[in-house]
Amino acid sequence: MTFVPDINVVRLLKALDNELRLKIVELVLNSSPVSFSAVHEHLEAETGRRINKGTVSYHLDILVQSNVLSRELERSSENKTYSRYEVTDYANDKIKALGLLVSRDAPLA
Amino acid sequence: MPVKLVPRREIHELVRGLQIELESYTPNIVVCGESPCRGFSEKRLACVDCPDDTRSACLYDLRQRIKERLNGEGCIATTFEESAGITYASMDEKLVLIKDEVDLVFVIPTYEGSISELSSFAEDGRIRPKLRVLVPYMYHPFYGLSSSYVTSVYEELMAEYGHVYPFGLGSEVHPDPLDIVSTLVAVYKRRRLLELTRGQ
Repeated sequence: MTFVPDINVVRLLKALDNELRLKIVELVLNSSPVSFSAVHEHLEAETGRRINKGTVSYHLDILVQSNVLSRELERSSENKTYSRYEVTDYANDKIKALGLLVSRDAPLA
Repeated sequence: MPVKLVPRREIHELVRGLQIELESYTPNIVVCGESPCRGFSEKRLACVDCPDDTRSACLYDLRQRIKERLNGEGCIATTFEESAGITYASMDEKLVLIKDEVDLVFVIPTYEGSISELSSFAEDGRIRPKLRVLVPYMYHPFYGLSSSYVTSVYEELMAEYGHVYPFGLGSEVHPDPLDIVSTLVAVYKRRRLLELTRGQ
């Protein structure tokens, strides 16, 4: 089957065109579902710097709006809301079709 | 084995090539305004508590509808949502808006706090060129009779930079905000596509 790019594929790729969002998607691909806190901690550990929660929220929203991630809201017994993120089936398919996956051990070209 | 994605530069080139091939630039747009129904109680656009009969006139709802419209028109549009325990301070919003990847920032001021926020955005040279302000026509310097502080802020922004657009909801005279946004974004997309194809 021939891969035909469309606007939604561009939106998906554009969402991935950012170092922090790439790190987020790699995290979620490897350990789905992931909470907001886990994403925040992961980004700070990966970059070695403090990252504002608002910035994390903005990047997650970009990924959700472009259909890379889906967000489920959960309510705790203390009535607090938590978000959990997963890679959508659409994004999984496109990431594979576009050849965007490499294994961690594979040498980089 | 853990998976990893290709380096960002490869994705960047792919995006660039596809936008040229499809003749469509995909802008990254942030729609700012007040969070759900706090404080704005002007009679015609009341959204306090958002009762059903004024739902269509709720400015928060409008912000969501703009986001949905833009996402359906090939953009990536986001809002600063105060959900899941995340509260955005004005400084947090500025940190996002100054990013190079943010193309346009639509602002629909709804109360005094958001007017101050707008002033703060407009003072920042990295944000000002991206700003597009949507104003209920009764507060627009050219179309309303208001002489309030709010109107004077719009007046200054309009005189210095432009991009202050009056809208009406259900008005026969003033354009619908969704149409204003679509038009402005379509023109912006054409300009950016031209820059892309010229290699700028």
